[in-house]
Amino acid sequence: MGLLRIVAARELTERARSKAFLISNVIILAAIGGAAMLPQLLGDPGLHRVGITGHASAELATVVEAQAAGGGGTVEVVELDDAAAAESAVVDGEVDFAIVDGTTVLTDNGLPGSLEPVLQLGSQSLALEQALADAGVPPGERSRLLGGGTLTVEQISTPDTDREAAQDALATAGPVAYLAVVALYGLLIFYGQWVAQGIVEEKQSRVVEVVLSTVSTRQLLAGKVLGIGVLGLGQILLIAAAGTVALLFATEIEPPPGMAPIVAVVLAWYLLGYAIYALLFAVTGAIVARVEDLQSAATPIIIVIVAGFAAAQFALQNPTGTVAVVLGYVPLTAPLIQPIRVAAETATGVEIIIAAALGLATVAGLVPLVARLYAGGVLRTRARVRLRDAWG
Amino acid sequence: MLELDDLTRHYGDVRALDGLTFSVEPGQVFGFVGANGAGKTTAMRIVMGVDRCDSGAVRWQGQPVDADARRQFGYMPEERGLYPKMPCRRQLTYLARLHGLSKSDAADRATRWLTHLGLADRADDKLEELSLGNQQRVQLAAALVHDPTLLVLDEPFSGLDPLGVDVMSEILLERAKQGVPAIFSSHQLELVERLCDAVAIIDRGRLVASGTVADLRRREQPMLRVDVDAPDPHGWVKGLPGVIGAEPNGQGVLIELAADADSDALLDAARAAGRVRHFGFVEPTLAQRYREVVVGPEEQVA
Ligand SMILES: Nc1ncnc2c1ncn2[C@@H]1O[C@H](COP(=O)(O)OP(=O)(O)OP(=O)(O)O)[C@@H](O)[C@H]1O
Ligand SMILES: [Mg+2]
Repeated sequence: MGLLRIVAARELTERARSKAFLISNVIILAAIGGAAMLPQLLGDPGLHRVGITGHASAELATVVEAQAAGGGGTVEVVELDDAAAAESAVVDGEVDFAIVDGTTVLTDNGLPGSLEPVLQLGSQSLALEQALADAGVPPGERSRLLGGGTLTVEQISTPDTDREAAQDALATAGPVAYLAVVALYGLLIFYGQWVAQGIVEEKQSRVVEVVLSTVSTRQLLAGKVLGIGVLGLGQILLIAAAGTVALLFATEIEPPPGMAPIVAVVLAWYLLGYAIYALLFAVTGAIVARVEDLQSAATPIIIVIVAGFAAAQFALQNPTGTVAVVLGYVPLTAPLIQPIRVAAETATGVEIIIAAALGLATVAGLVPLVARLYAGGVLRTRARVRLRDAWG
Repeated sequence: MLELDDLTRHYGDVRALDGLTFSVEPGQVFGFVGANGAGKTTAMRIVMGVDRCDSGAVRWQGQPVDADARRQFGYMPEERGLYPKMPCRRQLTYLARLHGLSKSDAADRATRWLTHLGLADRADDKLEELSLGNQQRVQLAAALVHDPTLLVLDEPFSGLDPLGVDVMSEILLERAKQGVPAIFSSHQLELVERLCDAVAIIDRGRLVASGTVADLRRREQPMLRVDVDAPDPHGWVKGLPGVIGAEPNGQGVLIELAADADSDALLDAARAAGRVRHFGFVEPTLAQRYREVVVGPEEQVA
């Protein structure tokens, strides 16, 4: 154990000092900072500026405000002098659109979303109220007539509420889950390849023979995987911390309520995913003789990770779909899918436990296989070793 | 004492070791020589546990050698290797810790050996920034940094300048004086002859000769070199009793005598032939002895 720790400590500290690691940290912090600053630089997309002229328009503007508030946005109402002022305000982009005398809406690139029918309805009811007033109906009676609709909405079937609930959850947790999956994807490739590269570098420089006269192949392999994994864990914690700080202080987006479970599940799946992929990458390192040949040997593994990432994007659109459910169990893709299933609040406790158990079982199954291939390949430093020979 | 006992190792059809047996005594500087492909590296790798043998055993102090024993050995592999991008002191400290030293001891020893080898001012440079010869000094430091109980050095002198050779030789002799044996392979037989207490010569995976340098140079049949000023400097030898063989050697003749031959009678015969300028026994150099045992007797006749 003592030797394993010494090996792991070297892997960790030598890489922590490396340029590649420092640069990756700078890029990550810059990316998180940039992502946090972006909405402020571009202006808040949830803010509508509405120009109005005349009393009737003000009444309509309240309809817009009510509609916007429902969607989480805010509306700023700007009073304008007349139709000409409203027109130039729209053209100059001072307001998103202008309501003139409660009868005309001026806009340069269309009304956002569902606003037009709302405005139509609003203007109809205003006109109706005016007509009732003209007919001498007293105000109390008018509001009873206008507001007293008795339409009740009754839901008689449950069309895919799971999916809707999931998408509701993702509406707030989605961006965080997505960023987490991007980070996981990057880290699995980056740190997994670092394991392979570390192994080949030791072979290519022949230092492996000196080291292996003091430690066993298992200790060297385990120390390398652990040391690099801990460094990656440090980096993902940095990402989580920087991301949380950015969410709390630099943006107006509220952190989703499920933030803590998402972070926990991402960390857990980083550990499992890293363990699986680091072991697979270790095999490529053990059979290849030169760092230059690593890329081609590692291609199949990288393809699987990229495919998992693509599936994760798909799962983000449809977190309850068969693809997301199935790949959420497959140990090679689960690390990138499970965080989304959890963020969408669709993963049940049983699912989480089964997926994690499958992941752990995969790691446990890989360890002896990889240890054997590594032991068979790592001292054959001259040429690429066939898997069969490394096994033999 | 290190014992190699009947080691065999096959690589496919190649027999790298074929029943190799010899032992290294405490405090010995032990030379390990043999042609390219004779199996020296294979044997040393098996001693260090980075290769396995098909059969046979390696014993250290009478016990089969295990990981704990090996951790006390110092090893310099044939293909040198340290971490190119790691500063010298840091990697020596790391290796010393793998050999079981505490953190502070390891750092102390690393600094001490770098200083001893004249690399104090390069201690914090990356290995790859050093010249090849200096990298080799660091490699030697890596084999010595934990005060090993045995040194296993595969061609430690190759690539060293004359000063480097001296430094390396001094260190080996000085360690041996402390009781630490060193086994090293080399193709520089004069060096082996000068440095070693004992030598093993192997050929195609088998031991063909071993013993102290003096033992190896001593012959069953003594050799005599005689230079005579005579019209025929070689012819006078023919037919003399006790002469097994003779071959011209420059101005004189090299005579192989039977063990019980009477050399005085030979001197008389030489005197009779002409003025004797040189008459003396010669010991073969290690290199000559090596050629005899490695090339094989049938070629010697020719
Ligand atoms: N990994 C290997 N795979 C196949 N054959 C090998 C391997 N290592 C050594 N051999 C063979 O074993 C034999 C002994 O090689 P070894 O390297 O031990 O010789 P050596 O005495 O060290 O030679 P040199 O003086 O050239 O260093 C050679 O025939 C060599 O080709
Ligand atoms: Mg060799």
